[in-house]
Amino acid sequence: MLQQISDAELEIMKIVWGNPDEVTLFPYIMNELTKKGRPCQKNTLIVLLSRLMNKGFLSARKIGRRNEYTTLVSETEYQTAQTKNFLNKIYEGSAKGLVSNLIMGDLLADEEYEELKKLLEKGNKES
Amino acid sequence: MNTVLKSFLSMSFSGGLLILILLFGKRFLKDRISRQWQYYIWLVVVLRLLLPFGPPVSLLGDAYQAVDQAFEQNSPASLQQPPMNNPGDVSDHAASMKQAKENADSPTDDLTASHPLQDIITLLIDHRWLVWLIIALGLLIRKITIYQSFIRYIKAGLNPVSDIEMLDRLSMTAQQTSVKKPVELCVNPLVSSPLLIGFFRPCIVLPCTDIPKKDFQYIVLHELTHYKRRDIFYKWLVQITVCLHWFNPLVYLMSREITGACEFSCDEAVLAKMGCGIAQDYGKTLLDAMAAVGKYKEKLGAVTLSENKQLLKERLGAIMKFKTPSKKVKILTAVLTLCIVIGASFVGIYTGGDVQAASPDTPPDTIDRPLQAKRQQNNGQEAASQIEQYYNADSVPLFQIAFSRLDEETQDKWLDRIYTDDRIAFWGAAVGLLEEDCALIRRYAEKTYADDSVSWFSVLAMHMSEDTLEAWLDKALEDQNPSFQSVLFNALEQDDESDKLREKLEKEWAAAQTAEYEAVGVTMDGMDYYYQGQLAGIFLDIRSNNSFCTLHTNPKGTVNLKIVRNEKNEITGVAYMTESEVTELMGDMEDPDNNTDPEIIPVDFKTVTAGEPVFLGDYTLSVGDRILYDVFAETGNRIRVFFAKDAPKKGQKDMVYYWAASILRQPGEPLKCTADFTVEPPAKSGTYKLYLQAPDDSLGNVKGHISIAPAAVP
Repeated sequence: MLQQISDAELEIMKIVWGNPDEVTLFPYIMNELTKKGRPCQKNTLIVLLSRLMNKGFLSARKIGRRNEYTTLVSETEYQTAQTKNFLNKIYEGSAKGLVSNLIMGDLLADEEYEELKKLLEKGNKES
Repeated sequence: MNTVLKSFLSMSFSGGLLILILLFGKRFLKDRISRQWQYYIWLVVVLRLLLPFGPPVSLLGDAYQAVDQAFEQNSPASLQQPPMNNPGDVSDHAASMKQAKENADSPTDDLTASHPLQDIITLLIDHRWLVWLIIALGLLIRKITIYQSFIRYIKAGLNPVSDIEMLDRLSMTAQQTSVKKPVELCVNPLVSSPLLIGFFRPCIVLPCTDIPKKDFQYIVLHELTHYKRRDIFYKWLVQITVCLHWFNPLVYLMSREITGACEFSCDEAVLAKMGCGIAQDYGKTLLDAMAAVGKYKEKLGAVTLSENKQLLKERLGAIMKFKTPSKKVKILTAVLTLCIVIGASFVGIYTGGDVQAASPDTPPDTIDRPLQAKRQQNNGQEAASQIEQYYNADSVPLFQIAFSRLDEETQDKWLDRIYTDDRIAFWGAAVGLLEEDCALIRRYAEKTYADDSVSWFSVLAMHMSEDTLEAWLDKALEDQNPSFQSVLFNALEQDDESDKLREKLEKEWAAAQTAEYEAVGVTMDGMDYYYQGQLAGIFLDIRSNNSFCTLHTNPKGTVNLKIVRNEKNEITGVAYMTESEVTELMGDMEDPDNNTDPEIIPVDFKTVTAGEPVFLGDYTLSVGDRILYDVFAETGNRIRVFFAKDAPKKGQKDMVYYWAASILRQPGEPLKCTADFTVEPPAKSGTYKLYLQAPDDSLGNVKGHISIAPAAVP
């Protein structure tokens, strides 16, 4: 069971997930945040990163004076967990309710609807 | 271990005094002196309370010793103890052993009998250090658990603040105060006012996030200042002190005072950083923070923004009065600090040291040896009472042991008494224990010199440094005091120069002596004395203080003479010795009646080669035998007669001589080796080889005899 993370922490996690390199360095995150237009103080970032480490999302390897951060939770894992959470909270665990809401509420674009349909059929055949 | 407790008690007392001084001083200087100083000066007191170090000379050291002795006497534990063994008296010793044995058996009896309570109390007093330690540990453990549960309570409802903006502001403030560690910011609605937790990873806990920007900055600044100054460690140091000194009410007062001073000084630091302009705003923040009433009373170990309302009022006052300290105040502060630090280090603690130093051989006291520990404490006192017995019982070795345990003052008294009682054996024993050139030696040297007591002085001279001896010798030469000169020359182990000086002086003494004798009608011819033309068979001259005596016998003499002196040692006349006096003297000297025939070894050599010892035969000697040398040499400088166990080898250095006499020629006199020995332990009975030697240059016409008189048959 993954712990909840705050928006600011998620922002950082996204940067780390988005990094093609195996390990992420502190200045990289700092840069990305500035690029996104959400700059923050050094201490703030350190605090947020240490919170993520405490929550088991990141691990840090100290090399000299710099930390090399690696993810312990993949983006998909996180998304699945969050979706489950969402399903439980809003639809009481019923995925049908979610999908029907997506369709009925016109939340899906036409292309997305087609893709989803294919995905469902494919999944049926396999099982 | 009770010694540890004792030094702790004294530390507590010294610390208590300092606390009182500081509290008293605070009344006058509260607003005039830096709050920082008021805060950190307590550290001196805390260290005084915790560190068992003190200078050897301390203001209260003597007082502690006195209290200690009084306490030891009144303690029921020591009353139950057997009296100190008295090695001087065997029956007493046995009695006390018996009593000790009875005592050892008694606790079980007592428990079942009428005084179980008293027994428990005695046990507690015996192990009072344990009681103290257990309570101290208990209190400390309680404080730690309370703190832990408080931290748990805080952490339970802890929400990290995810507002980036707020975190950024915290970061900036942290940079301002140059705090390097990342500071965590959390919210817990359960806390009444902002606080800081964590020893190494600081975490500021706010009651809520809904705080105006300005307030937030002040709060953070205040808490970060706490963190920066490591106030939490200081607080815990104080808590440990309080636990260890739980019996001292002043320590609690100090703890409260430090808590207050901590906030004051923190406020001061914040204001100094931000400038006086913000004083009003800062005060308002404090008030707002207090608006919420504390929901969790226990603040122990955490550093909070506000502790209580009374303190808050004072703090507000102090904040408004804040101004940068002037130069005058700074100087005053420096002087005060110095005074207090010096005061703290010199107020001193009880040291068992000097008592233990007197008996370094006693094993370190352990839990199993409360008795041993107490004995050490009592040593000084007991020695004082024992020494009297030993002295009266005429037991020099025991006296010496007891003397070594006395303090200087008592030693002084005893030296005085020995001197007055004229018991020189004790004098030697006592002086032998004194340090070279110590105050007592110096004092008594003056005294004995002034009193003209040569023999007493000579004992002291053995414990003087060369410099002192030379100074004395100068004095003796100046005063023309031959007997003291001779003592001092001996003590100085003369080198060539002083040898010559000595020779010269000895000649002068001899001349002076002869002149003195001639004044009363005694003339000298060579070594013999004549009175009214008659050769003296016995010539005796004893000084009134027994220090120096001349005794010359010549069997061919027809009269027995003695010199009469007055109290000032001046010769007043000459008298014939009575028959009884002669018998007494001769009996003392030789006991001729009891002797069996002595063995006479005649000596007659034309020449004796320099260096080579001449073997005179093996002789069996037994303890009590008397040996007499009476050998002359016509030419040559030095003659030596001695016994040895084994034949001396050439160049042998570690040769052991027995009953050796080595005589240097006195100018203008014949070289004559006369000496008189008694075979005594440590020399053992056995066969010895007798030798005659010319150590310097060869001797010519050596004549005379050596006699060995067997021990008197009782």
